[in-house]
Amino acid sequence: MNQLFTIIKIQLQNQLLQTNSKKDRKIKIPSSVISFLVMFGLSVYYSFLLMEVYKDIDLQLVPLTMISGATFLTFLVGISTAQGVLFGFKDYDMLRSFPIKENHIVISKIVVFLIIEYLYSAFFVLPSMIIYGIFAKCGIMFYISTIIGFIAFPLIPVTLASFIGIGIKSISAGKKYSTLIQNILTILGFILIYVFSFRLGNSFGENPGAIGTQMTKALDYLISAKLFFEGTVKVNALSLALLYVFGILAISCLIFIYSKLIVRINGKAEQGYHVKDFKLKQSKSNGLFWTLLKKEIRRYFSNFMYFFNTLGSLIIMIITAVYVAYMLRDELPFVREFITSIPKDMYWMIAHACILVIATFGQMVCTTGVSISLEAKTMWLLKSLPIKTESIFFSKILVNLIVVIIPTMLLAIAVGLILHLDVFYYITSFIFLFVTAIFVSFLGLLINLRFPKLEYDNEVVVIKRSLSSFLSIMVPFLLAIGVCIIFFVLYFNDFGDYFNVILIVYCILDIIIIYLVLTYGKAKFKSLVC
Amino acid sequence: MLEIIDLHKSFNEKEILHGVSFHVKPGEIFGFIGHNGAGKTTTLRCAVGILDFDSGQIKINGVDILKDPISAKSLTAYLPDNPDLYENLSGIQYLNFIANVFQIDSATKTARIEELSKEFEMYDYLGDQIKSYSHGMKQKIALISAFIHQPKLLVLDEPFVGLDPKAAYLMKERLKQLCSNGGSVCFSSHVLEVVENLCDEIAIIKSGNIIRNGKTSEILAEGESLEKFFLEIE
Repeated sequence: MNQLFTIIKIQLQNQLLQTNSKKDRKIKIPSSVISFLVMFGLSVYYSFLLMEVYKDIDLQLVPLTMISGATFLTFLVGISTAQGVLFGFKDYDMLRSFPIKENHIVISKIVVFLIIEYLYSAFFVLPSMIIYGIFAKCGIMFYISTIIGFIAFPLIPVTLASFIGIGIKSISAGKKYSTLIQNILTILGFILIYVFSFRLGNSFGENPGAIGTQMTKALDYLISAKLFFEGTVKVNALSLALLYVFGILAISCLIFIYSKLIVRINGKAEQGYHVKDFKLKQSKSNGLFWTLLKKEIRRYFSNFMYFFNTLGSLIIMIITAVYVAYMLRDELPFVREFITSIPKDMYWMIAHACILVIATFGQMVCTTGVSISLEAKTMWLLKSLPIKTESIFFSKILVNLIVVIIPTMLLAIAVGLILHLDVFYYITSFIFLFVTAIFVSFLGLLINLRFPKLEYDNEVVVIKRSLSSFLSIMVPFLLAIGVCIIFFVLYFNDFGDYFNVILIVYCILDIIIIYLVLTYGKAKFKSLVC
Repeated sequence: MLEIIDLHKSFNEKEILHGVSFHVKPGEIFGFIGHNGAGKTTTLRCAVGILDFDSGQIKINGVDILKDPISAKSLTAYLPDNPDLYENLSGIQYLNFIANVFQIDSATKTARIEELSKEFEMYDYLGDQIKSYSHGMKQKIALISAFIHQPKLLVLDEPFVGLDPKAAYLMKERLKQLCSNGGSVCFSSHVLEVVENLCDEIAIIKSGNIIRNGKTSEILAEGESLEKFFLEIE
């Protein structure tokens, strides 16, 4: 048993606390604290918001909503995390060479995966349960059952997510276009889940009084959420017992299937592809910048986690927007008529609001935030080749610009076409999206140069759990959210349209950040020891 | 070809190199030996522009690596002891990448890749992903990429690790060929026998100081073999 704990401890250190230097360790503490505070803060804020909305309907809807949300979150995050944590690790051969039982290795991987999923789930569920407990004046049994129930609560969604993740990995591993297959299958999986959740949402109907009944009905589809809700809020011991039975059954199935497939899939995933009968063909020579850009694009699209953690959210949002537009297709003529009939200032407020929301989506995509960290092992190559640091930076920035600008502009065009907005909307949106994309791209690079993580075993650690990854997504996103809030507050208080001011502020920020990247960033890059 | 003058380098305020100086002349194979942690790799990494240094001067063919790094690096090829390459690329994609960085025209690039890959028996594997390569195959691809632009100076860190005997022999022949065309080679190694047979000049580094530098024949004249000499200077 001690051996198992030792393996789990090492795996956890690798995934969550991987630090190799004292300097790194100093940074790690604020990173965890910041992540914890932000997630906790958002969860508390959201719970209070729900409390405000539901206080006159039914207070129990607060934990109900958060538990359902946590089930979806655990499930969705689990699909991509399972592919990264359960497979693609490099220590498997080493572990197998040690006198360690095979099932200890399997269990250790699953435990680490579960702990990561528990963290996501805990931040989402526990604050809302405590807030509900205080407001609803629940007794001690509520808190005890919450703690007991929470241990079994994520097991079913995690298992289902793992099965999907294992399936996707099994199909894609070892193929030439494995990442492309993996990306397509994962996005398809997400779309299906989204469509399903929207269908559930639509069943809520228009009567707010009936929302409680509708949500409880929807809960029938989410077995773990239903049992956890009944076991805690309604203090039903049988539900808790069933939650444990189903949870243990699910996780046992996962252990069994995973232990059967781990060697085959991991072997295939780590193997790379082979080409039969290779024939050398003359390929045309490219310029230096194009060569670097091609290398960056290949690196981006050939790394599932890198792609999915950055562009995945934007693609899903675009699909969601298209789906919502499709669902509301009957109402669109009325919306168009309304837009053409309203006063000019109101028209521009709507147009600017659309641009701001689309730009906020774009601000969540930051490939540059980990681009330097991902070069750690190949830094010797970049630094020993006759390449200017600026060229290296610009090639990384251009990848981010491409992956942000193309989808956001397409989204802006789609919104413009749907709402019949005029040509000035398109011009303004393109300028604004370009300026904000420049901001997020350079800022991400600057953050990564300031907080590089160059010592790691698995790229997932850098992409999903490094300080730089967290800050490069959260800072521009929170800024964009703040800008949206300020815009609407000022507008509705008759302070006028501040859109152009925001545009100018972003332009100034761009100039400052570009200057910082080319001075401070360049010096930092030169000093990176790899 | 490579001049290192009074090189000082510190990591976290601890000085690792205390004024390293040596000179690799054109047409010369230069061996750099020393115990683990003596400062060999740090010196070589400073020489090719990977690491910054505190003070001193490094010149490649008269070009200062700090003042004009791009020109200096254009003349150089570097091969680390354990070359981590872009694992997601195939061998041919990687070689094309290197050739494009050095701005080699299309026909020359193809001809050189074909010649070198056939010589090192890597031709059939060029389409495979680097991830699928063994350590030795990665070493060979890195070696091919080092020769692809016909550098004037080749800097190698423990180049024989992981190579099979045939590849090691071929590499030695290539190194001699490069030097006979006016180029230079500077490499570190623990295989003293190879250093003894291959190098025109040797520098021995101990705790960040060059403790002996001179013609191989002169150093060997002081002892029976380099191995014995190396052990005696402990």
